[in-house]
Amino acid sequence: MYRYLLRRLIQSIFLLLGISAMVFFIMRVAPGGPGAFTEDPRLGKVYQDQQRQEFGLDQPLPVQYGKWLWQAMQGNFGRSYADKRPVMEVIAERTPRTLLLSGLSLVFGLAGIVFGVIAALRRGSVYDNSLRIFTVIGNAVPHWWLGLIILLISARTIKIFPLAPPMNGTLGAWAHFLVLPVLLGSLGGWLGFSRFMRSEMLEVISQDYVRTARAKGLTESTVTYRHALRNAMIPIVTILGGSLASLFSGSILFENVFSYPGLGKLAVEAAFQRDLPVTMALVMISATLVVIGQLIADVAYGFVDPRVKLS
Amino acid sequence: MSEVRTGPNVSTLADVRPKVQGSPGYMRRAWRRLRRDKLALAALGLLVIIVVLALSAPLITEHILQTDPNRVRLTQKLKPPSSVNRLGTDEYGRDTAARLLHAGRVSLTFGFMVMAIDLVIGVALGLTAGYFGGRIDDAINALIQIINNIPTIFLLIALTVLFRPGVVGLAVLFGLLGWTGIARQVRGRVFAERQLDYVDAARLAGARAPRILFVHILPNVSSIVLVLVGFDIAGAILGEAALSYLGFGVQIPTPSWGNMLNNALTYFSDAPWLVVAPGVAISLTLFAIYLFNDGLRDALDPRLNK
Repeated sequence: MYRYLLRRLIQSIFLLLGISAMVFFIMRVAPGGPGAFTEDPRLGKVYQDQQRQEFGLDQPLPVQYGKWLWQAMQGNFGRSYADKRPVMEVIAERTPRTLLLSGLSLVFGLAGIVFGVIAALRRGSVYDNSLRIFTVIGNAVPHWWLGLIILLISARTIKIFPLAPPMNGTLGAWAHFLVLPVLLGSLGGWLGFSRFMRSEMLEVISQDYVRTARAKGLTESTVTYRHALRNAMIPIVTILGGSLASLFSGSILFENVFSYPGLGKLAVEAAFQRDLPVTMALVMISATLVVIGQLIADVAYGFVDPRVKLS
Repeated sequence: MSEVRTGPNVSTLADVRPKVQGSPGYMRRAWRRLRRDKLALAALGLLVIIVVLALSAPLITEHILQTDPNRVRLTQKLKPPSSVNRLGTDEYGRDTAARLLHAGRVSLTFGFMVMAIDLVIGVALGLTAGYFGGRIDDAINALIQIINNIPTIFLLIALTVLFRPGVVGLAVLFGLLGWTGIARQVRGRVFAERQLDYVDAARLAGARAPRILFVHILPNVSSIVLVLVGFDIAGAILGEAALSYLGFGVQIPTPSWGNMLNNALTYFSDAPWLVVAPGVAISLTLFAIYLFNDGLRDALDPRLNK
């Protein structure tokens, strides 16, 4: 167990090193990368050199990478090119908003588990079939576009949903604003979890131990909830582990559709302004969370499912 | 696993080649199953219509709509749908229907290009990793892990700003970041296949690795690849739309479904048809692909059909 944990930890560290090196070098090698702004001919030579020096762009690449990595590991991603504030300060400011939106979306999205279980229990029913059609259509329609359409309808008819977040609004105004983004954010969870749980539940129900439980004379609800459901829920652990990162990266698209000033909007603003330190920080933090999430999911799997031996 | 061919087909010696599961017999049976699936066929029909419409965009706009996607008529700007402009006009008075068709051509071509890149890299690396195993597999696997753990959309928006790619360049970026799914699936299948007798037989017959991989193993993993291809195209179209909507991705004046949506935002409340049309086009295309793909998967692997 500890051995497995140690090995996975070491693996994760190498993985993150690989990711950071790859992302760093791609960004630096790209034309118009950092330093491009110092090549503006309107700037004086002295000023150019001074700027390059200030951002450490005059050193060889591996040295830059080493320094950046060392600082990044201590949570220092340098200063934003755009407003020269520390990157972490900019990110910390936006993080709670994104966590709120994506956290609520995830929590409401978990309702998909219930939808899927009901579909499996009533396989072939009208409910099951409508859920299936809903799933196919729901996967085909881009959810962010659906958001635009709902905003459009709401703006042209009765204004149910505000177009943008309230400025210095009250708690109620914020809650009102969040309804639509959260609903749309949950849609992904409903579609994903319900389909996953449906097939997982069907798989479990057809197994011998469930038949045994029925044969023992247990009531149908005991069989369903105590025996089948508990086992069918196990793989959800893996998915939740994967969701850890999406809490942080949230949804770039929803935040931009709803003008929600979170990390997704920050990512877009930073890219437009070629604010690479911010972009790099966002990429690396969410990559780190992806890796940690997977690690947690793998280890948790061993705890939840005793059949899995971690070694 | 391998099928022995019998009947009148085997007449000459030259025809006696190693026959594996991916022989025409298997595909023909799959096609027969697919033909019975009315829903999948309807989806295929819809898909064919969309592709034909998009590919013949120049012909249709010139002869049927009698306009040009780039013809600016400032007197006609932001007109709602009418008998002249079936889907209305945009802020320059350009016909939305004409632009939608041309954009479809760009978006669909983009999907196919990304798929082609993903397919080549994914199949090549998947076959190699699965067949050789060991160090080679470790290296390819590490690469897959690295790419899979990078938050692609963050990276893509940054890279599109830096590289300022055209449609082809953008497809290359998507392709380089998107092949891992195919590679993983192929690798897994090859792991299973290489244990089978027909691979040993081929090896004993003196076949070298490339021949074993491409002539013997590849046909047997082709069914999984065929299904992944559809999802790959759908994913690329959706990705392009999202990226271009955000203002990265395909840049104007080249129309794409995504950047039409981006442009529509400015005239959000004055010209709702500009927001509706591209989204419907994207949704219909993805709907047809997913529906057809489901049928295709069932037809290729009847055991999955639960």
